[in-house]
Amino acid sequence: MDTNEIYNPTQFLELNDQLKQLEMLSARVEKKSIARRISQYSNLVRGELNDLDIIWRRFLKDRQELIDLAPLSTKYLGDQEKYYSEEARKVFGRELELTNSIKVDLKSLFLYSDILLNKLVLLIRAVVNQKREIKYRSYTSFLKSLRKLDISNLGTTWEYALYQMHGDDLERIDVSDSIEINSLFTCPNRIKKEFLVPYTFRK
Amino acid sequence: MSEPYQEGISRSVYLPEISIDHTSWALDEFDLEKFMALVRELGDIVPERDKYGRPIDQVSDPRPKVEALFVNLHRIKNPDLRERAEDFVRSIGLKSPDIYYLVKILKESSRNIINSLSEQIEKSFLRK
Repeated sequence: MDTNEIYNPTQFLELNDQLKQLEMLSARVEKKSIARRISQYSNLVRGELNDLDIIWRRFLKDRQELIDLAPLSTKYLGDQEKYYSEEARKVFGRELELTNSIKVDLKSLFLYSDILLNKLVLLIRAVVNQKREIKYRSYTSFLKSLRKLDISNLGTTWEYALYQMHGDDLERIDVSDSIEINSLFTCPNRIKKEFLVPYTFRK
Repeated sequence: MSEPYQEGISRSVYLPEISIDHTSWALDEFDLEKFMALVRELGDIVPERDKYGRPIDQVSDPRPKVEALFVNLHRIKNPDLRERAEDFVRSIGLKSPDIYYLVKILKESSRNIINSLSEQIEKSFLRK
């Protein structure tokens, strides 16, 4: 994903369009109970995508405003006379507001991602033949059961293939597991190594 | 700065509270001597005092030390030194993905899940 793609404000709406296509497909399913079930969970996922869309657009807007304010802020910071002026106060105040807003949006994105993925697991449950060895109750339990899955008995499943493709990434944004780590914060010896998310500093 | 990921560290959108919330620490791995040797080698990259004015080598908690190094990584020009500093930080504090990486993961995995589900619907319910 390049820079332009990352800053694309319609990230989540594109996924919503994809879901609409899935719903159109499911409307052709003969067994109406299955079609209804898929449509029900698909609607839940779409609701979460709409919320993520709101957060994402707000984040991008505030981020841009913060970037636009930066030259002005730097100017006032380096100017002893104007530092205490009304204008400078307004700029610094707005910067603080925006930083706080971005902070809240960042946390919201993590939490709402978790909610979205929980709903996606419910949608998966509505479509696939459920396996006894895989837990579809929540995103965390889904990932944990796939992590422990013994495919030598079960054979490769669609869910396992998915885990192989995206498991590492999905585990990184599993908020419940992150909370589990934070609760062990004061007892580092007890941290389970397999829960530690990879450090993502990029060159 | 060619990648957006660094922006979160060096620009004004750097949000220390968020990083700490999502950082897991392997404090057992912290070696003060190794840290101080690295700090000396880095010159003025890591401040001598923490934000409360205490000399950094006298703070007992390793976390502020690692954070002080982490937020200044972008200032290290020498690639070898920078790599060593990154390795050091990585060995102590493991940080979860930033916002851009989160969105990337979320989009790509959701897209693939939805695509695969569409294929499953076709395969299981529509092709007779």
